[in-house]
Amino acid sequence: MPDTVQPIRFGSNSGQPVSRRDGIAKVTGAATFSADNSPANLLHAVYLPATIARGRVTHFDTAAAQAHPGVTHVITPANRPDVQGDPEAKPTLFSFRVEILQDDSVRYAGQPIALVLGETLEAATEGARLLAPQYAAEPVATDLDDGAPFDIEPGGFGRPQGMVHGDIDAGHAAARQAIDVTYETPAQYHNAMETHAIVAEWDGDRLTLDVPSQALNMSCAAYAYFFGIPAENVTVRSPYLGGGFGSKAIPIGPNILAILAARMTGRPVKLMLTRQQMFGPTGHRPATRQRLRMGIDATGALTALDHESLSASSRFDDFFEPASNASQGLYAAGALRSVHKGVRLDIGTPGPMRAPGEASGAAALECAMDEMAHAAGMDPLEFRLRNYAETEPGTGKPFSSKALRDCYLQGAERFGWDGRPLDPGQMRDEAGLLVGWGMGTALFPCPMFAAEARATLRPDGTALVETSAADMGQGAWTSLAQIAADSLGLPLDKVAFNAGHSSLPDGGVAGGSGHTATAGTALHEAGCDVIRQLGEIAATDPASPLHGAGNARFVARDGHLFIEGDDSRSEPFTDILARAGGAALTGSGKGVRPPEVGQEFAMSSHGAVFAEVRIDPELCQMRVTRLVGAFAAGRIINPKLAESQLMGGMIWGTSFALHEKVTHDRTTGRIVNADLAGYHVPVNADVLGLEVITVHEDDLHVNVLGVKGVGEIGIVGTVGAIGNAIWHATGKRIRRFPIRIEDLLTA
Amino acid sequence: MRYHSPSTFEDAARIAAAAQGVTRFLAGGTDVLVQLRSGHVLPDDLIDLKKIPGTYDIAQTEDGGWRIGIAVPGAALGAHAGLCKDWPGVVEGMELVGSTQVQGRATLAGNLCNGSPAADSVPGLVAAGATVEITGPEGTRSLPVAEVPVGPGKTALTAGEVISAIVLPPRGDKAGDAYLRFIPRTEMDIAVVGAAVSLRLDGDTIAEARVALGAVAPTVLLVAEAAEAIVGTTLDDSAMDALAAAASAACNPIDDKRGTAAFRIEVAGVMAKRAARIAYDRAKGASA
Ligand SMILES: Cc1cc2nc3c(=O)[nH]c(=O)nc-3n(C[C@H](O)[C@H](O)[C@H](O)COP(=O)(O)OP(=O)(O)OC[C@H]3O[C@@H](n4cnc5c(N)ncnc54)[C@H](O)[C@@H]3O)c2cc1C
Repeated sequence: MPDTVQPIRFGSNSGQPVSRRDGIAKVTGAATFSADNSPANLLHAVYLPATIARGRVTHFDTAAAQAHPGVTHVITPANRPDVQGDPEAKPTLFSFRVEILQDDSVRYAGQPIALVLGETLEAATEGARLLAPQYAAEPVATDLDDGAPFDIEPGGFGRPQGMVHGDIDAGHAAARQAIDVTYETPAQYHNAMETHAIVAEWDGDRLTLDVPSQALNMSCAAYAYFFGIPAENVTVRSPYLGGGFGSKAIPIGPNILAILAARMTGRPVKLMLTRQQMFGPTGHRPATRQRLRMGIDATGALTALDHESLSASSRFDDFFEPASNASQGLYAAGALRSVHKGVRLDIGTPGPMRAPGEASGAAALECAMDEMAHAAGMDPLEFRLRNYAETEPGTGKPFSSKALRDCYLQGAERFGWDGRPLDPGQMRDEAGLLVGWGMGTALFPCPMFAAEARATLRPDGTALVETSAADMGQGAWTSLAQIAADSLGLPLDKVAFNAGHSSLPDGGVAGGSGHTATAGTALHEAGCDVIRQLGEIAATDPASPLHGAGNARFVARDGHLFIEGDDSRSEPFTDILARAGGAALTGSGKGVRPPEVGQEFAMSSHGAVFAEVRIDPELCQMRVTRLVGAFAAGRIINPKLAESQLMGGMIWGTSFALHEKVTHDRTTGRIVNADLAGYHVPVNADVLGLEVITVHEDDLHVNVLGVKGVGEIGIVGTVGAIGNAIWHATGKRIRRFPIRIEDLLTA
Repeated sequence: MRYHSPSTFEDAARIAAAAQGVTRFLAGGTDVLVQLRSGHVLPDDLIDLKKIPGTYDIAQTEDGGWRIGIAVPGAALGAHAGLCKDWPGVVEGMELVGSTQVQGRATLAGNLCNGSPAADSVPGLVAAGATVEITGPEGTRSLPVAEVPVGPGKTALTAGEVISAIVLPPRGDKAGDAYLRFIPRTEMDIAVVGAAVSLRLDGDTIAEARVALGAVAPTVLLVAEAAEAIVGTTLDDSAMDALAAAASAACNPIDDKRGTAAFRIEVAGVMAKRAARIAYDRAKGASA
């Protein structure tokens, strides 16, 4: 294994700001999302969510529900048909324990406690209402302070590993100046525009599902497990996804109930969650409390960076927000420690959401860095540069690439950071509003999950490329097609892309910001495989101008095969294929990262976010008037889509900093703001100046494409930048997100 | 649920008077349909008023005031030059309601009769001294808008009564009004505080004023003390301080997730001052 991957030549498609190929279909409504499917003889399913957070259901008015016209079946724990898998088991890497009416207990508000089937959605909805459950409720705990913190036993997905590098006590002792601050972040719910939905249809022991999925083939395996059938008997169709944010990678209980209902009735069943139900069994980002202790020496160098995070999880499963991981790879501290603690509450099991760990952890870390810089009398950017990590902190591993310094400098220049007063409360605009500037660093790892792809070159010179993964709305189908077209040496309009169906080669997981890198590598390899075969045919065909070029490398460009470095010899694909009998050529490829590369290098995307806020001094109303983010994420395949992704991430950051939060009723444990009128995200009018810079970065190690990932990094750093800007405007340091007007009035 | 679409207000009143269960009128439906879909209010009788002739009309009255049909949506108010010139504060209150889509449906009467303490069009109407024409089983009567809401979700309308028009008084010279609301988010939010001021000048001095506050008490408040604080002044600093103090003193708000009581009291004073300044400038001829 060479220690660098050969840098590959790219054709004319990559790097182009191509508009998304599914754009017209989406704006005209031609794109069919899961719930748009209505097969004949369809039954509608509606589940009843628990309105208490802990206790038992003691009674249902099943007769009333059953008697309602149009209601066909009422399913409760008393009559639920058997499933073949254990609801407490975790059949795949990304699985949680599910609530599928296995008993009458209630473990959190919003848990499904019954399922009603009807000939119409209205009938099923009314039937569910008529069930009028009665409960034996128990006292609930929904606040971080309501439980006893414990150390998390590390172990895979959802159970983060802490870390110590160097002597942390010595680091604290060596500090000339130190801070010890605690930040809080709230529980947040994914709330993609498309709510979870499923249409399930059985044919004997074969199951077809229309369900939005970030991991099609993995979810086939999970659903198969619960119904005792082989994974290949399950077909998942998921062409379009109206956003997932992490919540659509994991099979949820309501989907299993819908499949069960379809099997029980022998009819197709559709279930679509309401917006209110999106605050239930679909995962969320748990609340955290994070203590950060930092020390610096006389030069401003960090002697210790000590980050302890407390995260909530449910009483029955493990997903702890890995917040303190955010401190692991960023700053060159003399000693580093990250600690994870958990607390169990009467809430649904959390899950990965929009940069899990990095977003919440960096919110605290970046504000704490700002506090430390201020204590040291240093500019926040200068302080970060002073502690710039040339190699991975703690491990000393080299970075596969790291253009963070360029991000800092280009972002700062575009923003106009120079001349920012060190002290807060110094700037006002013409209208008398307080103005503040803040910044934050962004870091996000670049994982690769395994993916497979297929490329077929047709005799007419067009190609079809295939991989199972859905387009989550990020434009994957467009940028992946660009990669495939380049590997095949074809213009984009000659390449058809087929995806979103589990019968296609396994596209892996669209998550962890690793989809373009992973599926893209698989598509690239598949295209190269086709071209390699084409070269073999040409080289051995006496009628080809390329005959005899056996040992040379071939290059595919604009539908022609060339010998590398010799433009005088080429032949159109169509001629080569025609003489070879006119059959199509198919190649396959895999996208995986060799483990040794991961061991040798630290691999992350980086960025720097600069924020300006303006605050009404009388009303303390806060507006984020400018955000500039500069990101280095390896090769950018499609600048238009990548910048949109990054902007979206920065808007998530605004949302985290100022808006999103669920509030539980302390008595019942219910979420009191479970809809978009009460659970706020920014509206368009809240997003004023928003600018993204993609910083050039060549990465020879991360994968053959040099692609890192842009899906989530935009949120990281933005939250802290806004919090810091608010401090800079007002002098008030708010250590609880979202920052509210009252906090500024009373602080 | 029975759906009715009468063609006169008298018929609407008769149907409403005869109805036994939960009854709702349907104007734009932006409250009623939302409540219905969420299961909060399930009417037995739903009486659609939009088929009644004239309900989409905005007409000048003989005395120079305005008569606004009960189906006129916010967007149509905003597009009406005469109304915008006379009562910019009333129009801007209604135009703050919801989004573009909601603006195509939502009405003044619906906003008023839904009875929310935070209804955005109501402070402006109260400050303007608007009245409603009510048709009931006993005939028609007129009532000041200020007397329509009697508590959250409750109005002074009796069974069978329906609002058949909104009436604004003649504006006259050297007068202006304004409405401002405070929300944490920039758009699409429920008022934490709303303040409306209507005033008339004599030279540079305020001769008459009305100040109304929303979202700071169970109903919209008409605050006489706040008006007194600025009458006879040119809105100098001490008048402004007195206005703010009077506005804050009148508040009796609740704590909720949008704002604490203390915060609302504080903000009410600030909003009243700012609305008064805009109304004053408008009275002096500044365009809305
Ligand atoms: C997305 C959204 C955003 C919103 N934003 C705001 C906002 O910013 N500010 C705000 O104040 N409101 C807001 N609303 C609430 C709503 O739009 C307003 O209250 C609107 O003015 C109601 O008018 P309508 O014509 O739709 O009323 P409807 O829903 O038709 O009726 C509302 C109530 O008034 C009664 N009613 C209607 N007409 C009459 C009549 N002529 N006589 C007697 N009773 C009558 C009905 O019985 C019903 O109880 C919002 C609503 C939505 C859905």
